[in-house]
Amino acid sequence: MSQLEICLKQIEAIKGQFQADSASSKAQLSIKVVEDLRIKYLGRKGLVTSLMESLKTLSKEEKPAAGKVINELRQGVEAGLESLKVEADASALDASLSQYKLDISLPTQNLQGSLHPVTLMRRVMLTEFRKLGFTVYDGPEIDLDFYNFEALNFKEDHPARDMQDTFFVADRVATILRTHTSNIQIHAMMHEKAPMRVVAPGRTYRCDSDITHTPMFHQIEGFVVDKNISMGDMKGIVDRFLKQIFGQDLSIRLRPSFFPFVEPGAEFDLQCVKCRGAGCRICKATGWLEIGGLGMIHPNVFEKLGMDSEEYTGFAFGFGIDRIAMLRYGLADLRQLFEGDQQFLSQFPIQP
Amino acid sequence: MQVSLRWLNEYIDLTGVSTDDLSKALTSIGLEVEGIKHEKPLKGDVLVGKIIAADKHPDADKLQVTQVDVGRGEPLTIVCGAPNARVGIKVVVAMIGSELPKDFKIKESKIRGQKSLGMLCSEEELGLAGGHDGIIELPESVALGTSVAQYFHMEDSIIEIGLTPNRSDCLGLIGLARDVAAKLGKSLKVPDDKKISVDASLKSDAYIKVNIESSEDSRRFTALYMSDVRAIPSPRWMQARLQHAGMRPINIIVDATNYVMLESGQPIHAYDERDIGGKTLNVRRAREDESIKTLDGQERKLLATDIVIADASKAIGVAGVMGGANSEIKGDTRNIVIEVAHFNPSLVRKTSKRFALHTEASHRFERGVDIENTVWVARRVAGLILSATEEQRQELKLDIPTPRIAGQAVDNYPKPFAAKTIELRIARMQAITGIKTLSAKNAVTILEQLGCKTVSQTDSLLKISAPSWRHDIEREVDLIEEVIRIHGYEHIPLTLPKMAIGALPEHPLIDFIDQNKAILAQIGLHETVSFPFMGAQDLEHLGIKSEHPLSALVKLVNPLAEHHRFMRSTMLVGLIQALAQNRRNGLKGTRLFELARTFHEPKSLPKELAPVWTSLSKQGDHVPVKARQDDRPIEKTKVAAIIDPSFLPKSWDHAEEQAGFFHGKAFITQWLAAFGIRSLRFETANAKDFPWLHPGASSTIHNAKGEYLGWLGELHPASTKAYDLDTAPTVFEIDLEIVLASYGEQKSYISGNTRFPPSTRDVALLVPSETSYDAFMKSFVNFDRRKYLKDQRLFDIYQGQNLPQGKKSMAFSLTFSSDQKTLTDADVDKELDALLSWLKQDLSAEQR
Repeated sequence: MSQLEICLKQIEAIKGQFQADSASSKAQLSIKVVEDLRIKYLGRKGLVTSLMESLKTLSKEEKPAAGKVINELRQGVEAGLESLKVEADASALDASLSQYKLDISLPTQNLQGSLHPVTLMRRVMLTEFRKLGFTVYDGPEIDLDFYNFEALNFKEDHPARDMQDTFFVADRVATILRTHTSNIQIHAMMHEKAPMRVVAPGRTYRCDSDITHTPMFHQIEGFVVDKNISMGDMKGIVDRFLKQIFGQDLSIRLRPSFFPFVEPGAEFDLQCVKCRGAGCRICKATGWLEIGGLGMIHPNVFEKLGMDSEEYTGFAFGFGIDRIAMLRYGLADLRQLFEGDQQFLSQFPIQP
Repeated sequence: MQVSLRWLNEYIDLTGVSTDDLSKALTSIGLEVEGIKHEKPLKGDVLVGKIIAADKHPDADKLQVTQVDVGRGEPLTIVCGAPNARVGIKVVVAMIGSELPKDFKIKESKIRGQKSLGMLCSEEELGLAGGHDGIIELPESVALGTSVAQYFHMEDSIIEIGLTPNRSDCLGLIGLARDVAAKLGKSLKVPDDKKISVDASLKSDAYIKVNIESSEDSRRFTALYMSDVRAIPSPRWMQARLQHAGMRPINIIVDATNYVMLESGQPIHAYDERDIGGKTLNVRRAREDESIKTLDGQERKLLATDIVIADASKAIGVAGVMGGANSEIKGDTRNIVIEVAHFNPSLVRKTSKRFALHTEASHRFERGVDIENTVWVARRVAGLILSATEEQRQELKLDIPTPRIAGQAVDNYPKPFAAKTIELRIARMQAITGIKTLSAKNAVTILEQLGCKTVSQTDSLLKISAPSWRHDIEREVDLIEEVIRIHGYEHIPLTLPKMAIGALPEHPLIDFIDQNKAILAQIGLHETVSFPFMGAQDLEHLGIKSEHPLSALVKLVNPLAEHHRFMRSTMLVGLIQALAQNRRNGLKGTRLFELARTFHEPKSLPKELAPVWTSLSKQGDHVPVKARQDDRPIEKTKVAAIIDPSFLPKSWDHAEEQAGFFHGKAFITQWLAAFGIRSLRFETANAKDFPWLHPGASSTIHNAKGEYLGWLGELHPASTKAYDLDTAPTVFEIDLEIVLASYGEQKSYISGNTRFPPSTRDVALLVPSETSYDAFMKSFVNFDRRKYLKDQRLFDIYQGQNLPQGKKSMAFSLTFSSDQKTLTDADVDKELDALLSWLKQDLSAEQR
């Protein structure tokens, strides 16, 4: 056997050994196993490296051919090691991933607050009214009789004043806690010029306290003043608003009623939000829920403020926010709204 | 108002109209039905029977064993204890299986060994008025087996109507029937007073004179004389109707006055003629020191604002409110004077309010009566007394005379009613209602059915005079309401206003309120809403003395409770109450905020206000400018919060967390940072200004310009104890209007280069113990060779072992950077050295 043949045979043997080593290393592949293989074949005293030594024994003519074969072997081993390394890295990552396993069901503690249901409801309402072109107006909660009653056509010493149990302020002349947000009609009309579309939400007060009444409660008042405003417009606006809030399938109905500052006056009902008008416990089987009062602004009100009641007409409406919030959120007890019970309050969201 | 359906049927034929339909019709015309009650007090067979035999009970002295024939089969054996049970009388028999009021079920029973197959009933057992001892004795004329419920008119449907105060005309059934008739297109039947038989020879003015002192007090007074009356019980049908209307039957005279009041809406009073001294009725104001004992037995002191009915010498009735005990109808009354009058509504209301005596009469006079109807009413009462007396005489076989009615009443009516003519423009009616098809003809039909008269009529204009009973019809729009009310609100179309687009300006505070609430909730606070009242005790609990500005309270005349006597001057009160409630509920970690108003009485504010309280004398922005010129209490919009010391419970990833002053400070800084308000200054609070705060853990809060926003602190131990709290919460209150002003200010933002990385150095500095963080911050700001120092963060405070007495160590992490280059160590070291020598000079700070 020539030196070359011996050499080529050695190369074949190393090649075969590497294939065997590669295959067997896969059983327990790790970065270290691959490194050990690298040292074994490509290290300073590695099998492939030492082949280069044996090149010296070959003749000048034989060297290039043998060198080429050895180089091929080297490249083959390097490639084999590289692919083993990729595999080893992958399994090392797998191993480390399986080492780190969170119990993702563990709880976190957040400092999450909440908004009061009346605030949420108020925001929903204001959003809808602003879409309809209304401006939100504000005013005092402690007001003079003039704004709360007199200018609203409540005549002095008339039983209509008994409709609202009034808190009176001591040591002051004709000063009261407003009994309704209708005082804002007067404040706004004294400041702004028609055309007007105004809503005014706020706290109101009546000296009454039982299961369905609290001495402080929330109302929202709205009114529209322009030339040629009709009862149809009044019905249309209230209908549009309530449909936006409670659903397009519900209708409203008006029933004649009396409030001194409107004529004609009415109360308005909405089909029950629970049974959608079929009749249930919430609506006492009538299919209807009483929502609030409305009417065409009384000419006496315009005239009291120096406005031309022939030229201008308008309508006003008002209703309780608390009750609407209770309907919307399915709440049973009005008084719970004002007790500051955090277990109750914290269940509400921040976005309505 | 309670309306008997059977009674209503007298004035309008409701045959074929179901109760449900009637109820819908009433509600649709503004006479809101609040409930329907079906009166059926007797269930099962309660029949008329006759005692045909009565034997003494063998084993009981006071009982009898009777045989009763009810016209069905064999007579029934019934044991009875009533002394008046005797053979031959007609009685009320409750049969086995029947049921009397108060769930009294009749069962077969044995009484002292004797079987009893039913019960003979007394008036009380049937729920009837009268209250005679023993069982009811019915007239012989009643047929055996007649239903007793029918005989006594006990069954009826009662409709409860919530009447609005403008509809005084519907306080009588005729008025109500008139409205229903208009809606249902039926005719109204009013009892005819022409059929009443009067005695023309009997003259009222021979027995009575009427003087009205002022026609302002009484615009009409009608007095009708009637003789030979007897105060016997009224017929059962009349009693039943009164009872169904919620009134108690008394005698035929009083009952007739009440009956006609319920029918017509006009209160009526009957006097015993003998009690009218000087045969004169004077309508006058009460005199000084005058008093009267009213029918309810109360002695009442009168004032000059009270109208009284007086005889020649004394008051015998409070006009429009209640009659006097000295002239009431008595058992031996023989001749009466029937008074039907008008009294000034406003004066009746004053008197009734002062006496807290709200009667059926005052209710009607306050709302207004039909001044044109007094003579009809007087005759109707008299006619009813007459016919009812005749009926009772026959029914009860009484030996009494026939009453006589005077042919003419005394009628003092100085200024007769003159109906006003009101124009109704059809075009206006159509424009207001939005119904273009509503015609003059429609309007005339409806208005005439309601009692209006058409003075003239064209297709475009009606001239209408309103009836005397409709005080609420004063101008055109009232007529429009009448037409649309009866025509039906359901015919109003759904339209939207045709208006110019563009909204009026809105006050920025309104939306700002909602924005702030959202941020406060996002940073972890729960919104609460409390009643804005407080009591004098709260001032005491909070250590607020009379010279403190927060003691300038708005006081209520009529609070619901003493602890609600005042409007709150601080929101603290409601929050503390909520905290206490939550602790009682076992909840830890309460952190609540409220955004609402506080109220202040400017007249009680001290002349000199400390700077932190000066805003209390300025009206809140939400009060429109014109109203700010009124003399009125001050309202301020505030945010306040309360934080329970038990802040977060221990958890798997952190220890239990306690909250104090710094949690409050963190909440405030985080909240206001959302509005770009960052350079807040917290300054030590003056204990005198904030007696409810712990003097060592409280501060005032200021914006960058130094303007005062509010206060923060841990609750004072004394207040904590006064409110029965175990541990002190952290509380703050901030004026939202000043926050809004701060938010609105222009800010400048970094827009230069931020790409060169910063360098940091940590230094620990030894300073005297009293040196505050704030002193350091000021010193950093004033560092005159500052070039690269961008930020300084305190990361450690140490005091104690290994440090000299009176010294503490404060360690800062300093950040240096430049927008020109990446700094070298030399750059940084140079500035740090300069800084250290500055701090040594300024604060005697030594590097550790």
